[in-house]
Amino acid sequence: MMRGSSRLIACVMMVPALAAAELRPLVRLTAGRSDEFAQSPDAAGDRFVFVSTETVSPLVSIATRRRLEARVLFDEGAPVATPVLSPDGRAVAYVSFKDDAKGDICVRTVDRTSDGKCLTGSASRDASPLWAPDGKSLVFVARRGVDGVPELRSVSIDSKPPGANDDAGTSLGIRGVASPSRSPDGRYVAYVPLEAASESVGVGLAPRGRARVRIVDLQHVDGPPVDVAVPFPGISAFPAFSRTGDYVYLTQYANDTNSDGVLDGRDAGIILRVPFRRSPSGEPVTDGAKAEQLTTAQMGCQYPTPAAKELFLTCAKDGSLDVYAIALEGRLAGNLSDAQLADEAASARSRFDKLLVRTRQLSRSKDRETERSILRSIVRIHLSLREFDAAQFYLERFAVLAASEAEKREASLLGELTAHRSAEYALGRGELSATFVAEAELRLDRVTPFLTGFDALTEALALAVASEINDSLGEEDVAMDLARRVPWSKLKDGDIIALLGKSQVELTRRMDDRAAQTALDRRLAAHPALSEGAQLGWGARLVRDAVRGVKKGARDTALATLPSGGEGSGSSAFRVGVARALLRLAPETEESTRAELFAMYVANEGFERRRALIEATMRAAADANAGLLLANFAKTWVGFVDQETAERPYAEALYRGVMLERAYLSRAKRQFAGARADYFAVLLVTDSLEAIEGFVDMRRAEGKGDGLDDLRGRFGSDDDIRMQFARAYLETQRLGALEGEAHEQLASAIIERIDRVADRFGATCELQHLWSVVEAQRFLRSGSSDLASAAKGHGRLAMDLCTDQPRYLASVRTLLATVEAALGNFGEVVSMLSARALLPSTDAGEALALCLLKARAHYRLGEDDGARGAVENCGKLLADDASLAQFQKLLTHRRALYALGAGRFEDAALLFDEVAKSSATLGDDDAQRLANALGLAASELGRGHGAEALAAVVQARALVATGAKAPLGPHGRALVRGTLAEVETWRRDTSILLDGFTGEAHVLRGDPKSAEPFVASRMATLEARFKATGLDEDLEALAMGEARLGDVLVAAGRRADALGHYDHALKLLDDWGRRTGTAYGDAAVDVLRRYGFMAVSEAPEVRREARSRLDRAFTVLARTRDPKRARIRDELAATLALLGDAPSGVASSPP
Amino acid sequence: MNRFIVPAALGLAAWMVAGCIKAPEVVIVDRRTALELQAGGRNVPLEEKLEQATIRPGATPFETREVGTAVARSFDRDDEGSTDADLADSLLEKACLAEGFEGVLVETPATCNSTAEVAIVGALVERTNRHRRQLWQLMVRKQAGLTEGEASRAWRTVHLRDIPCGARIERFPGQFEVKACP
Repeated sequence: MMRGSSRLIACVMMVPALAAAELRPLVRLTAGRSDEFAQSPDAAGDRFVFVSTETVSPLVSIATRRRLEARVLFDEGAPVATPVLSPDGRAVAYVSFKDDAKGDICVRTVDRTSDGKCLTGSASRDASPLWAPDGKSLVFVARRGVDGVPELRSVSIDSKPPGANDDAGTSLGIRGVASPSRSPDGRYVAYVPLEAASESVGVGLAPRGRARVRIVDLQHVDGPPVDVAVPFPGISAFPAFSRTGDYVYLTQYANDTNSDGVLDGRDAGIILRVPFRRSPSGEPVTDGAKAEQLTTAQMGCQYPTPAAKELFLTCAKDGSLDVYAIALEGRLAGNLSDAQLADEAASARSRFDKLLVRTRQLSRSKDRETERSILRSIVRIHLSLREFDAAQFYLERFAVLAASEAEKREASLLGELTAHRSAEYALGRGELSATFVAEAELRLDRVTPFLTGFDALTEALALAVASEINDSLGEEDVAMDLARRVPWSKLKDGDIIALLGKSQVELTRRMDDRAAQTALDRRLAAHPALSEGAQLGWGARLVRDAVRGVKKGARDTALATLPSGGEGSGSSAFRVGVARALLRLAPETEESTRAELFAMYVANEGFERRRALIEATMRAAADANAGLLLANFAKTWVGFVDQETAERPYAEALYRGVMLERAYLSRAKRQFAGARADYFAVLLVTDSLEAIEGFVDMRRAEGKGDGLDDLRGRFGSDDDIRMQFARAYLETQRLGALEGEAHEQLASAIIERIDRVADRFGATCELQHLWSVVEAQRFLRSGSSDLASAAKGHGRLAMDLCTDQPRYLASVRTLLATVEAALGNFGEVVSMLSARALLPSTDAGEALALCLLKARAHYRLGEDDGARGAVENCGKLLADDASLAQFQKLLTHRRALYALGAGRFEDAALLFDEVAKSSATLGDDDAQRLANALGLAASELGRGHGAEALAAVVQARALVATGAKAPLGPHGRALVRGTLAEVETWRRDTSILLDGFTGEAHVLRGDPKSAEPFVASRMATLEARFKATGLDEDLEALAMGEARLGDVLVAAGRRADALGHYDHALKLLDDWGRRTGTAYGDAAVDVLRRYGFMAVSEAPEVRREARSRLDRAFTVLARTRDPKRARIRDELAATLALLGDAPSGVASSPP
Repeated sequence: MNRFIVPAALGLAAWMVAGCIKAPEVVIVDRRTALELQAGGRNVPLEEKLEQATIRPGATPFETREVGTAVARSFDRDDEGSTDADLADSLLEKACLAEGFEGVLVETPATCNSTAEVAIVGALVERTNRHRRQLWQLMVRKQAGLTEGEASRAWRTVHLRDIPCGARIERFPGQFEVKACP
């Protein structure tokens, strides 16, 4: 038998199931909150390009498949679409909207050795580039004008763009084309044909074509086209040939999943593949009847792009598009036997997966009776998902296969039921519409003749449909009367019984008729036409209905009115017996309850009964926190379920979950031996990588080595892939203490190990987390954006895979917050830390690190109150844990900095002073003293204490003079301006800061003359910096420095000189505005105002020039009417007035 | 001269006469970044230690009980036999819905312990409440003199006995309590 045997657990040899049948997962390949889509892999599937919306304009990125290193390939600053890698992977063709809003076909090299080159011109809208097999030409879709018909054209990549009114390349004679794909040999093109009524082709993902894919032979374009007919509901789109040319993959939009009344690309798509070949005479041949469904609509996928071993897809999850990969055969292996498929269908936890299996069974069915039976099941699932169009599609197929008049009536009545439910589902908010009522009454008229005088199935269906219609129309009493007449005992099909049973449950629950409900439950729990599993399901419902809302003390009484029993009794009695035993579960009765339940388990050998008992027991034990019961029955169950069954992975997951929970509880109590034993117990039964990590940790906690010897004993040899993982884990623990070459060598070795483990295990939560840790360590030492992308990629993938492992989820969120902070993405940091805060921390250092990270993120986001609150919380953590005392000074530093940032200069000065005192005690190095002196100087300046600021600056200058080095961050990474030219860069920036502080201190002391040389020196350094870097931000700093020099000169009484500096500052700001596209920012207007004011007392030509400049700025400000800038606008107007002329538009200026 | 310009011009005049200048707002362009980098008080060994505490391999070994999740994951089914009433029961238990004072189901997203899709929950509430109102109208038609308000109150008394333990009930407008089953 497939599903189990009567073996007792004591005799079970537990061997981990390495390859139990299981539905394959979709593996996410891209990360981030933005959309990533329209991917194109190279032939081997090692790399892929895709469109990303991480910036305002979509850009094209390239990523590696296994290591998930992604980088921007190019950003045109304008939208791009459908990048496609050339056959040799060296070039990418894409649609560019940079110079042509209608879209041009362009190419670039992947190694970025050349800029983009466009092959088409502005005469047409160009889309969907496809490479020729030799990589020397492209086929694309071109459309002239709004009314033009999209046609396929071919263009050489060596050609030049055509003239303004000319077409690029040559026509292939195929018109009305959308979403084309070319076969590997280049001979055939598959596309979605467009009709005149829907000729709108776009580069987005929403197809608008007819519901089919067409294939043409490019060598005989006038030959008859071949349309791909697939036995699935809905419309087809995005065809793509497999790399070997033996399949055409496509997206099928089968249902209006977003309920907007339109079936289109916004609905959740499923991926199909259809066998393809060419006839001896070269004609394209497809076998639509053998189409296989590869994915489900649970996560809508589209845009299939096959590589050699994997299929790449764009899928939507939680409202975000990302690139995913899956085996070419999809979620279900192609070689599953019929028995395995039946097993998968029985064990599938989701309706979507069950549909996937059912459609595969349907494609294999060998006789009409089997086909009709599967179709009934498919219709029932679609109805339960409220996918009414799909249900109708399969009902039509059922009607064609109907072998008798009764089956034709069955199809017809199910069609009425489907139509009625669809109409009711579409009802808007509030009451019934007149149209709905009229149609329902007509439907009732059509169904009524079948209520009596026909076979049992017809009558039952007619009664159920009439009951539902009356229920919808508010005639519940009639509905109940009709429902009571259903001849249950005469029905023979399980799916029909389940369908009608569910309909009746809705009604009895609505009527709060508990007696009718439990009577129905009991009847169906004993229905001979139902499988034992289905009967037990009704038995479980009986228990739920009997005790729902009943006080605990009265539940046994409620169940006692129902028949119960053990071996040999009916399904409902068995289920009630289990429930009554579990009602007695309490801490003091755990052992007796276990014994009672185990006796029932032993007495009932059938798989379904045992599963029902285990399920009920485990749920109750989890609620009651009954650890003995949980561990015993989890072990019993995993020992019973056969290795190769679809149920096995669920049994293993249950055992793993229960035993790991117990291990973590022991670990928290520092009972390391007990925890280690539980981790090991998991390894005896499953391939849990989490258990390997836990076991190693516990061996180390016990002080008994690293556990590798024990693991070798378990796994047989060092060559075992699980040993490789254990070693990778241990090595990663060492990685944090290494730097330089030693670090990089070990990191590379670990990644090689992880890669090998991934080959065997696929993508797992533990593996992806470990990988992200290694990449994060490398990134934090190098600052490499590729490594940051890899760390984030593996981390995000881990988050996808760890949803059921919250302890890993916590670790991943912590890691990603750190990586995002290192990248300066503080919005992401706050978001990640908020999610992290939902789960506990176990390490005081980690908790403090997260707390300080939160404060820093708030500070950098300008949220001073948030930063202050967070840093105060960090203080509480420190106060509560003596082991954190070493971090007190660091915390004080942060408090000082955030006080300074928030303008609380008094607090900041006191705190910096406190740090200075502790620095002296602790013997800090000069870099730390210098940083502190700078902070103190800034604080004193803020307080208006020029003398104190000057003293701090003098101290800072002395430290620089004695050789204080750049304050490098962890791992020797440069912190200044993100480059590795740290020392000189830091010296220059420190000089700018010190000169600025000195000048300001002198100004505060009322001695602008002394300030002047420092401000001038600062200017010279700013100028040198801008010359060296050419950065916009340095240009702005230079401009503001000029203006500041002007201010100082004004204070020193050198007004004429000041005017020249203001004038120069304004020219620099104009240049900055042109470079950044920012006209008259607040800083520029402020300088302008000061310049204008100085010009008031100057010669008439100077005043005219100033007036002209100010008037231009005022016109721009008045045009934009930003209320936040009203004050600065009025000040500008006032300056203009002083210059002797009211500006244009002043009268309408608001206060 | 525009009346709004006068005060501003006077202010500017005062600035000129006093010859005063204030400390600049921006010392280096990105004040917060610059301050953090150069005046933040780096303490490399300590910061490195803290950073390493956030990038460790392995799970965070907290002891919060998660076994219920493992059990649910192993047995829960998104089943074609599930009914609207089953879904409503589940959402009532997770505090995503409550039994409203007026006898209808009400959405309570603020207390919801689930990631149930808003559209699905909204449609469920619409369907359920439409049926409830129809039921009250039927009661009115069947019993002379009964008002819809009386019908809904009578129906609600019976219905509240049948809802699951832990469900939230609006006893008075805006006042919710949990159905306890000791």
